[in-house]
Amino acid sequence: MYLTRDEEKLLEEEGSDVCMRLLITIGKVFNAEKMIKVKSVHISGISYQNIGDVGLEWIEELSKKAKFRVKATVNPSGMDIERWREMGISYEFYEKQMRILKALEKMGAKLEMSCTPYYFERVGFGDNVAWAESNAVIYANSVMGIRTNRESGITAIASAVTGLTPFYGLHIDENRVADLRIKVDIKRNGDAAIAGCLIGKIECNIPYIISKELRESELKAMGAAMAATGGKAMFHVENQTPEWDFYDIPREVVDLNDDIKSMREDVSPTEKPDLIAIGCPHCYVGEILKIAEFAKKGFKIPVWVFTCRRLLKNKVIAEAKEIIEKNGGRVFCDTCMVVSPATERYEKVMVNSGKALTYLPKLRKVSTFFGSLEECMNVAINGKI
Amino acid sequence: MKFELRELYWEGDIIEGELILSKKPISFLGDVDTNGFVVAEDSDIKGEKISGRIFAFPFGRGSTVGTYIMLQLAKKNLAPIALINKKTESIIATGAVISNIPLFDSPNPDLFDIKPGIYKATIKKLGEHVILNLKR
Repeated sequence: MYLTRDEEKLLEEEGSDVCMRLLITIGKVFNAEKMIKVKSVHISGISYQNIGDVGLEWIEELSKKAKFRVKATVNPSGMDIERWREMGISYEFYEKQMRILKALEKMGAKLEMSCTPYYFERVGFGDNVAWAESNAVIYANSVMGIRTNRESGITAIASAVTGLTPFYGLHIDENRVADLRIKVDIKRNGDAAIAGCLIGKIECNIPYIISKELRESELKAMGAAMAATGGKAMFHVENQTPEWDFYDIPREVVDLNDDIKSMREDVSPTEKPDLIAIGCPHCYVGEILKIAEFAKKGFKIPVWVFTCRRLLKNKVIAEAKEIIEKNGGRVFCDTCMVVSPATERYEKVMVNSGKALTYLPKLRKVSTFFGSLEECMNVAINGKI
Repeated sequence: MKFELRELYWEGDIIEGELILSKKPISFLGDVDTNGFVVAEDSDIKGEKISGRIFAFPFGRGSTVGTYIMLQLAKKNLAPIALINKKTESIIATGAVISNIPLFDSPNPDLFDIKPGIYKATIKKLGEHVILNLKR
């Protein structure tokens, strides 16, 4: 791989040496010819629940030697850093989670603890970034035209330290071409998330989706779901996403027909859930305001809402939070239902997310039901299905 | 038997030892225990040790948390002395670099055509090429 003199120097510097060796190896694996600069980094894999003591020690060791060269944000952690006790988090867990966060902050990370950096970062169409967190990756590539591969927590850290990423995959035009056309029939709220679950499982690299016009929240939910079920990193939607007509359109067509309807029947609640969890990916403004409206009727089943602390600085959102909390809900920040062990205290969780529907049974070992936001809210208000 | 390898991460010039070959993809999270033994039920080398050996398997699978498991093995001196894949992917590449385990892939001819099991092996640099020599 071709390296500039400045890039070679990074191999000699303590701290950046291991990061550079890692990026060169990844570059060799994917036959990258050179490195490119990245404008932003987003780091996943920071929940103590997921990375344990080994991960904590690795990040702490690195933080003694390395500093970030580009702006880096971090994913949700294992707990709300202010209300961890209320979530039932132990002191030992709290302490270890804080050590991970402090080590990242020492290197220069901004502790946003959000999985939706696309709402907050000043990056845009055509920018190269190194983002981990699968829903952020697919949203960036598909909805914003930002270019990133699906990084892991460690490769993202290496990019933050060096400011570089190997030039391969989705950084290159020809790898952003769709290879299968998929027709979906989105009829009801919540269908987009289910369509995402199904599209993820279809064997293809980048799907080209034909659908009626989708709302931003639907694009977000659909992408997160297909990244979770099938590791997808990009999709196009005809006439809607920014790069849909940049490349050749694939000939082969698959029609999801009634699959969305039948999957929805399969994942609807069969008994009363003991927790309703909203915010995977993290809720944005519209969703929080909507939940607050429903909350005014009172929740009979606890509702947990996950979002980014930054949003609560807004007065309107802060008021919405008050309303939700006065009526049987909780608004937690810095974490989510998937990466926090708190969810494990419950047995049956209802979600409006295809991503949470995929991961909760595996990672938090809870039975999981699905409904649209409205359906989840009605179950919470009525206290029954 | 001789195979040419693609060097992905290696700073030395010779590796000698036993090679253990599996034809099944491996996840370091779940398929290998914390003492370096293969525990995956469906593995063709179940119960065998990978520590201190050259470990050949087609490719990695599963969670990125596997990278930290490789590091944990390395810290306890229980890591393999080298890894050979048919096709390496990011998780194995990341784990190998942070754990400082030499990494190779794309063996030519295909190493994974031979039987699973334990062999005597030498990996040597010959000019631009890296050659794996294998004996029963």
